[in-house]
Amino acid sequence: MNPDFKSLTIKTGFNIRIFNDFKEINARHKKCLNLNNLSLINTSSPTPQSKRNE
Amino acid sequence: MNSLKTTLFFGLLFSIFSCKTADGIATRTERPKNVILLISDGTGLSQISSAFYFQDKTSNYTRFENIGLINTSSSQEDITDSAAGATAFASGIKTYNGSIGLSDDYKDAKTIVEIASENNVKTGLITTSSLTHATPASFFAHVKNRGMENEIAAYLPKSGVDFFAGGGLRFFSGRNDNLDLIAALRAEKFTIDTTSLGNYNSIKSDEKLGFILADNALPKMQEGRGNFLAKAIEAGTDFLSKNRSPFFMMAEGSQIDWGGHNNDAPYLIAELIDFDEAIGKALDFAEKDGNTLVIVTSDHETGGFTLAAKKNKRDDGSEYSDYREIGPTFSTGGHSATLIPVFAFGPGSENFKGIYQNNEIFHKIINLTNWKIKQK
Repeated sequence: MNPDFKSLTIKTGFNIRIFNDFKEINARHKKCLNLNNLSLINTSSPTPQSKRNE
Repeated sequence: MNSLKTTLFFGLLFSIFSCKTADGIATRTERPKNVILLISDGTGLSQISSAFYFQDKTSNYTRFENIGLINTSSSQEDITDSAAGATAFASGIKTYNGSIGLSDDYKDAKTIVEIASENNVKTGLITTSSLTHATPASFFAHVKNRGMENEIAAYLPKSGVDFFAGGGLRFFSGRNDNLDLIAALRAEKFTIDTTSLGNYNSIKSDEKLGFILADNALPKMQEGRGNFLAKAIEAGTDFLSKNRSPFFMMAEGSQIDWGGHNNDAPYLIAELIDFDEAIGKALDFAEKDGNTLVIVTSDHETGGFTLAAKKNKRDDGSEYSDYREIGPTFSTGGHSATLIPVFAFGPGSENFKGIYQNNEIFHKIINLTNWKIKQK
C-alpha cells in the first residue's frame, strides 16, 4: 500500500503555523500557487563550518 | 512587527512560487537527445548532505537547479528493495520486491534500454557492483528473483546494450553450466576487456564495448577502486556519442547502499564522494553537449543515516551532543521509506521538479525523448 500524500500529517508547531499561512495564501492566490519548486539549504552556522575547514 | 513578518513571509513565498514559473514550465517541450541516469543506490538526503561536510571541494549536487522528490514504495511493500526500485526506473512500473524487469503478474516489462535500442538510440550501463546485481540487471533482464544472477547474465549479449562497465566476471566465464557468455558477447560484436578501462578509440561505431573488471563487485573506494566510476562515465559518453548518435546511459554508484547496510559511515561517505565526482563528469559532458538530460536519483535510502551531532563527554563523564562536529549515526541495517531527492539538468529537466512516484521517472524520460514503445 502506497502512502497518500494528502494524508500526511504536519506535526510540529512551526509547520502548523506555516501551513496556516499557506492556506491563507492559497485561498487568495489560488491560480498562482505552485508547489513544484523545491530548494535545499545548508543550515550550518559559520563557526562549525570554519572549524571543519581548519 | 507582526505585519512586517507577514509581509516578509508572503514576499519570500511569492518570490519562490511565482505565477510565471507555475504556468510557464509545465508546458515547455524542450527535448533532450541524450539521457544520462545516475543512480546512487541507498542514498537519501543525509547521504547526499555528507558531500557538503566531508570533502573540501564544492559538491557537484550544487550544479542542479531542478530538484524533486520521489516516493519509492514498491507495489506490495512500503519499503522497496533495489530490484523493484530499479524496475520502476527502467520499465515505469511498480512491482514486487525482488523482481527484475517483471510485473506483479510475472510478465516481462519492457526496459528503457530495449525501447531506446528499438529507436536506434545507443545504450550503456555502468555499475560499481556486479553487472548482474539488482540495479543494472533491471535495465536488461527479466527474472522472477534478483538472486538468479546466472540467468540475468545470459540476457546481456542480446539485450540491446552497446556499452557496459562493472564487475561480475564469474557470472560470464567459468560457470558451472559451462556457458561461455564472454564468447556469446563477442559473437554479438562486443569487444570485451577484463583487465582495465583501456583504449576504446579504435572500436568502430557499429561495434559494442564491455568492461568486466572484477569477479564479483569492484573494490570499495577505501580499498583502492580509484576513479573507475568517473572514468567509466567518460568512456561511456565518448563511446556512445560517436558519430553523434543519441544515447541512454545508466550509471550506478552501488556501494553507498552497502555502507548503509553495514552501518559503516566512512565506507558510505567515501562511496558518496566518489559518486559526487561521477556526477561532475556527467554534467561536464552535458554542459558541453547542450542536448543531454542528466537525472540523478536513488532507488531508496539505506541505514536510516543521520548527520547527528557527535556525542562527547563532559569532565564529569556525562554525555552531550557537540554541535561543533558531526557524528553520523544509523537507525537500521536495512532500507527506509524516506522520500528520495531527484536532481535534473539539461533540456526538459524542469519536468523532474515536484513530488511524484519513482516509476514516473521512466515516463518523464519517454515523454521527453519521444522514444516509441513498440508492442511485442
